[in-house]
Amino acid sequence: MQGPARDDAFARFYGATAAPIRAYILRHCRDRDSVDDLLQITYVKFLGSRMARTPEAPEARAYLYRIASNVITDHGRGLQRRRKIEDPDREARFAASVPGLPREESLALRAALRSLSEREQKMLWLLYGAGFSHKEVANIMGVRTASVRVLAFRARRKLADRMDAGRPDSKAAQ
Amino acid sequence: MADTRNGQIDAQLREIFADEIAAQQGQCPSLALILGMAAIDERNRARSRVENFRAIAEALALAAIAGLLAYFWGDLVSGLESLPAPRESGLSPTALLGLAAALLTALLLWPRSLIRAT
Repeated sequence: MQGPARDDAFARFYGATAAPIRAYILRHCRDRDSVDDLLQITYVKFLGSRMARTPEAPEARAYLYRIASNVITDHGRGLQRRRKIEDPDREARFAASVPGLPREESLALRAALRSLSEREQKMLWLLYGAGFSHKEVANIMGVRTASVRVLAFRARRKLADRMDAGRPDSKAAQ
Repeated sequence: MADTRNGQIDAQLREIFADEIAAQQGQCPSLALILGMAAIDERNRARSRVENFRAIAEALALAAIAGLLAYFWGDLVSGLESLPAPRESGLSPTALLGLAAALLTALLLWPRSLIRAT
């Protein structure tokens, strides 16, 4: 694929992936002000890769998430060096924008999500937010498929336990 | 019971993440901006490739010139000294040697000056 056809293919690819990638970066990046910078870096790196020649290939989307994950990790290391602090209002801001769930339930799930490790949060996002298969998530995160299954199972169980622990009736029972 | 609970959590996670994605619609940088950044990045990478090539070429050129000079230096000096004095131009063999040295210095420095000029 060359020239205008490739540009059109990339424009479609960008249209389909930009919002999910931005949401992914926004959720996992500690520095909210850098989200658009990281988004740009992710796409620039993608365009500099061989995969940019075939953005409609099935594996292109997973490759883009892999780049985004690496960009977020690199940025996080830089942030740690500069000792920046996490945005404390992030969860509440997200919770306020979820119309489908009762606010308390949404907040409980989000609080439970936040209590998971970065790795578990990324994995759940890739599975439930981006809709990747276990195998694709394994490729993106650089782990084995079996590990993704185990990690996902444990992460879900942790979520359930922590949500249950946060319920008023469970607190009363204790 | 556990399956139902897991199913509820799965559905809630999907809903939360889908809403987060929906909230980003229209928030992303324009395609033109991304393509512009990519073009700048590509230009920078191409420039650094050229500079790397030039650095290697310069090192090779300098090494080759130095090697040739070392090899032919004796012949060059004796050849220049055996020349009859050019009475018409008024240049002595020593002056010719100096001129040759200046030319060789210029030869040695041309790759660097070429790089600076571009």
